[in-house]
Amino acid sequence: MADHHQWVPKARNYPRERKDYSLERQPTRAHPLSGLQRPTPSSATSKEAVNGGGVSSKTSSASNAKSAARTTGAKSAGFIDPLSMMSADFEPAVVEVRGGGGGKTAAPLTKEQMIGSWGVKKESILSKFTTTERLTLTSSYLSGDDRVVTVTKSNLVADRIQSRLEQLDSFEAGSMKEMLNLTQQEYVNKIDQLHSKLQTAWRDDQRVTALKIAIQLSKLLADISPLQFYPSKFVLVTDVLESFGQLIFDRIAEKGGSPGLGGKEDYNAEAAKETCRNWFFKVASIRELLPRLYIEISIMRCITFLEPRSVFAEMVPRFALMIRGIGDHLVASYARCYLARMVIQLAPEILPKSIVLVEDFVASMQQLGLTKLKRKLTDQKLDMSSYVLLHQPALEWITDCYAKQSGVEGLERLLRMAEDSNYTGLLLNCVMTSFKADLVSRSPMKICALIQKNSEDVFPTYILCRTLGLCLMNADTDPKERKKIMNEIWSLVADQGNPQSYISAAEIWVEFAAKFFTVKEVNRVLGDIISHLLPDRAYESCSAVLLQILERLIKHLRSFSLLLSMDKFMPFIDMLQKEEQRLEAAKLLLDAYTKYHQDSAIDPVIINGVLFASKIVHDSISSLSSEDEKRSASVLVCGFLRRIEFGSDFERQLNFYADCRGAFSNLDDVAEFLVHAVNNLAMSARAIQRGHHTRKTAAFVRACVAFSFITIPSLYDIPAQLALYLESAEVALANQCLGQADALIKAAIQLFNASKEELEVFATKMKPAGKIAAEFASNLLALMLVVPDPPEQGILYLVRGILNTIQSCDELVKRPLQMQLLAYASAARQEDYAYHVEGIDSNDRLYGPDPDFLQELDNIASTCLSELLAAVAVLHNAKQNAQAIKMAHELLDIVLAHGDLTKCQSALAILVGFVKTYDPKTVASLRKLAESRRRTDGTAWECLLELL
Amino acid sequence: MSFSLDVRLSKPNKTYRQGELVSGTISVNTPSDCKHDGIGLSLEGTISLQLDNKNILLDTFSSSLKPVQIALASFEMVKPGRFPAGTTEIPFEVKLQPLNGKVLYETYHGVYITIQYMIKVEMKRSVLNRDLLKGIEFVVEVPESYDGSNDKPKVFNITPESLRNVAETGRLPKFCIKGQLDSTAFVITKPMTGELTVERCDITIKSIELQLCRVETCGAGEGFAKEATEIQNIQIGEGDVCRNFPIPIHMVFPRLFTCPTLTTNSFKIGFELNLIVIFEDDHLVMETFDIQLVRPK
Repeated sequence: MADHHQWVPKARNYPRERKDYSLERQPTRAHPLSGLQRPTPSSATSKEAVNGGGVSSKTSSASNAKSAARTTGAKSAGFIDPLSMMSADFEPAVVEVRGGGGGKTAAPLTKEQMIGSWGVKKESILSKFTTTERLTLTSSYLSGDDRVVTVTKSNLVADRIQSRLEQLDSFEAGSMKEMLNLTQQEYVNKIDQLHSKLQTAWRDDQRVTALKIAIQLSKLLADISPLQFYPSKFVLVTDVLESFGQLIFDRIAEKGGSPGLGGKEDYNAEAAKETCRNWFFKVASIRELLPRLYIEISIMRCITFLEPRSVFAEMVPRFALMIRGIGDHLVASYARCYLARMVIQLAPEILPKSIVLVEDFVASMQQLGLTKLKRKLTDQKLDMSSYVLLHQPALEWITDCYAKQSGVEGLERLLRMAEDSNYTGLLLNCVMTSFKADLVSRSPMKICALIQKNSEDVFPTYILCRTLGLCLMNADTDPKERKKIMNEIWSLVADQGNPQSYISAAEIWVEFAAKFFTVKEVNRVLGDIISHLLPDRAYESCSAVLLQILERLIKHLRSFSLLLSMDKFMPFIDMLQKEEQRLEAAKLLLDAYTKYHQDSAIDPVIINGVLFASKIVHDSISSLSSEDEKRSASVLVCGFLRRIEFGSDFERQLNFYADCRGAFSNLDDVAEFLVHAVNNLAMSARAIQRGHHTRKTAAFVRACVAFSFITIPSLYDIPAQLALYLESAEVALANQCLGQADALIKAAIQLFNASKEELEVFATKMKPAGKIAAEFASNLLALMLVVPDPPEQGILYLVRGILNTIQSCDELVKRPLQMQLLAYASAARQEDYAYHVEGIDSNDRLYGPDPDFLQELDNIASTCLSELLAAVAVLHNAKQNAQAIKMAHELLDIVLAHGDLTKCQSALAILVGFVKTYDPKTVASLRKLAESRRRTDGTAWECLLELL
Repeated sequence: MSFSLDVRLSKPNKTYRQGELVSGTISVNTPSDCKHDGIGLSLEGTISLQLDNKNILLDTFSSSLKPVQIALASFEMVKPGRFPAGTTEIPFEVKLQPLNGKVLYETYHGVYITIQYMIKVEMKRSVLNRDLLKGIEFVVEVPESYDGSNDKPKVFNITPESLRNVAETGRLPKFCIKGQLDSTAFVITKPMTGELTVERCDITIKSIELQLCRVETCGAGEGFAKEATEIQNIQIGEGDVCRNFPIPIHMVFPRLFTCPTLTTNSFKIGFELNLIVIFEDDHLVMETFDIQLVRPK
């Protein structure tokens, strides 16, 4: 053991210090956060707000202790900080999860948006149109299998020649290979392969090869079987073709061509034009119609190198007419779609002309008589409406393009066409999705009539109902008409035999009812849904939609009393039977409750309902759940619990919390929240009693503390437990429950003692175990200052417990704790403590200047100081200078802050000497400090100056 | 890097008309100093008629069908001397005009008739080295005055009755394909246009195609050979096209392989368009149109 150093703390006059060192203050008129919309209430800000009268930063550990004591009440969870109170005036932002418009976008769109919307459509097509049938692909640019051509390093020349020849064979372009029996995935891969081959060929300046690949790809589009896959195939192939067109365009631009006229006329520009012309000649001579058409459309953009943009107005109609030469309707539809796509990219100004495409579509489909079509489809084992639905993405895109530039007249024109066509439903649906909702909803009755006219086996009526619903949802229709429409449509929806289609349409119309009508109507609709789905347990197959319905309902009927007032609501919820769906539903309900619930009146029915939902959420958490799941569940449950206020009925509130503790035992965060809430409750009781408890309130407060005492050990998170123990002890102390406070502190110390090895588990990068321990010790000691010694035990009984615990700590953890202890001992030796708890006599008043007590403190302090100085020396000897210096500085801080410098000469001399030798840079600042302080309390700082 | 000789024309599209100056550069690239015996440049225009070997009737002609030169001009560009290492560029300019008594025709590459114009550069070298020869083809256009008097739409109507080589029209399926070519004299630089409507067809159509043929006639008077060969074939209808739905007839005339319709004393170049409708059972119906190609001034 090293030398013994005597520690003598300086006598403090706290009120004077506060006056001397505090900064000058000015009243402010503006709230610092008033500019912010939604400040997040965090404990950090609240602490600062309350702890406005903190002391200067010099006495760092003392201010720590003070703030801990001051925030006794503030730390409780129910506390509403003044900042968040401001934001409480704001309506909680409603997050619109899903726009009702069905992906409708407002015009006018920018070019990127227009193309972007194709991206969306593309994805939906690819996911919707798939097949399990085997596919065939014909191409000369793919090797039959994915064998990798490995050039075996052979010494024999003959071998090498052999493999060279084989390679040549496999690259031979002349032979067409037909690949049969491909799965869809294989097929997609092959197309991707062709795409990369095309690009490689292009990079290698093999333009003819690239063109040939493009031609072969577009030929694939002539083959319509299997029908269900065709739209996806179209997407895949046209992607490649589009990029091919872009490659050519870029190449010509690179060579010096400039789109539009008026470019500089030099040799390069001329040469680029010539290249461009050659491409057009080359493509124009492609024998087959479909490849020629597709590639001509793909390279259409290049024409701007040769002619003014107005030439599009001639080209596009020509292409539109050429498409008429395609016999197959599906192939033609998609070719039109591709043309429309290019038009919208290149020449939006001629979009109104795209009506030709719609007209051609309608006219050609009209020729495809229903009976003829039926006969054709029986071979493909496809029913008629599925076939018609295959056309939908293509037609939808065309009408989208048309709708962008034409207003009401365009709409009416298409509606007339729809009315006269055999395929009313298909056209009608496309019209409704393409035109803006408020245009469509101008004549809802007319559309309604058309829907009624739709023949079910050509186009599914439920889709029409759904689409119309989506349109009307976002538009303002005449309320009278709304009711009429609802009646008309609902009768159609109710007629749907298939539960899937029924519910898909009902989904939208429930929301419609919820948005525009009263609970009564919604209830009726729900009743209808229940009666439709109950037979044969049909609800099992459409639970996802049921969830969506719930979500839509909540969006509009935000009040729980409204929801629960419908007698069909709970039976509706009961249809969600699978575990995860119930969970989802519960989450939705909870989320809605925390977001929207406004009325503070406590309705037991609602609470029961929400509690039930919370339980479902809670029960979903198991030991296998991830942290994220737990967190989101906790957030939901706490959000709900926070809303439950029984006003002045504290007993009931406490009972409720006790119930919750039983119900949500799996969630740490909830238990933590409950402890905070109960502490808050105790403090509220104290506030009402103005600090003087009656027998009844005292009992209640003790019950609260007891609640905390038994709840805290159930937590898994030890740092949280420690913090909660301290908080509860503070509450107990504030409410004059001395015994309980002692018990809580004891429990905290014991827990810390028992678990100090396990703290690593909770350590994070930002907060290593040592820091957790130091923080706890700091808070604990700050509290200990005001806790009077229990009468039946010896002097500083609890502090000695801490001392013992510290002794057994790991070296790294121990040192900071000892420094805290030093600060504590200094503060505890003062005649009048820095702070007190109202109604509690702390040790200063309890012992007065009792020599035993003071001696005890001095002993503790001196031991700490000696050991710390020894530790610095040990570190120094072990050549860990960086650590040694850091520690010396920390210790010096404490000594300067708390020590009587004149009487702690020996320790001060060692430390200053050490710092001077190893960290001379800081000497100047020390000197500055000493000089400034000398003015206020002279002699002590003289010692320091002397040493420096 | 070895010695190279290259010729480049100043017009990227290499297209010239009579009386224009064909200009360009000869570039010589040599890694080291090199000696040469002079560079000569010539502009040549030739008509070559080739006859089908199998055509015995015309055997007698074959001897007389040597390439005919219609334009020839040659110069010595560089006197014998040396080229320094690196690239040397020598510009040139030749006026395009026919030989005395000859007429320039448009560039044309056919099966039996070829009309070709070349710039040839020859570099003579010492005995030990081969002479270097480099040629580049350029295109000659010969516009003519065209008043558009022949520019009348040609209406056609294909029915079983309109067919000539069928004995029993009764056994054919009923069909009626109407349409028109917008003209019978097309401007060679513009696409051929028209439209066609299948008004009725009882049998499924497999394909509707346009076939552009050249008709080359060699010799004149008594002994002549006439051959029609396909230039390009373009599909305008694929599959069973919709009835009563006008389909456009649209074809771009390929360059080099077409030229304005040409008639001379020793040969003729003409064009035909075949409209072919192929049915499901691979029977086909064909209608042939004589078309005239013109290049107006």
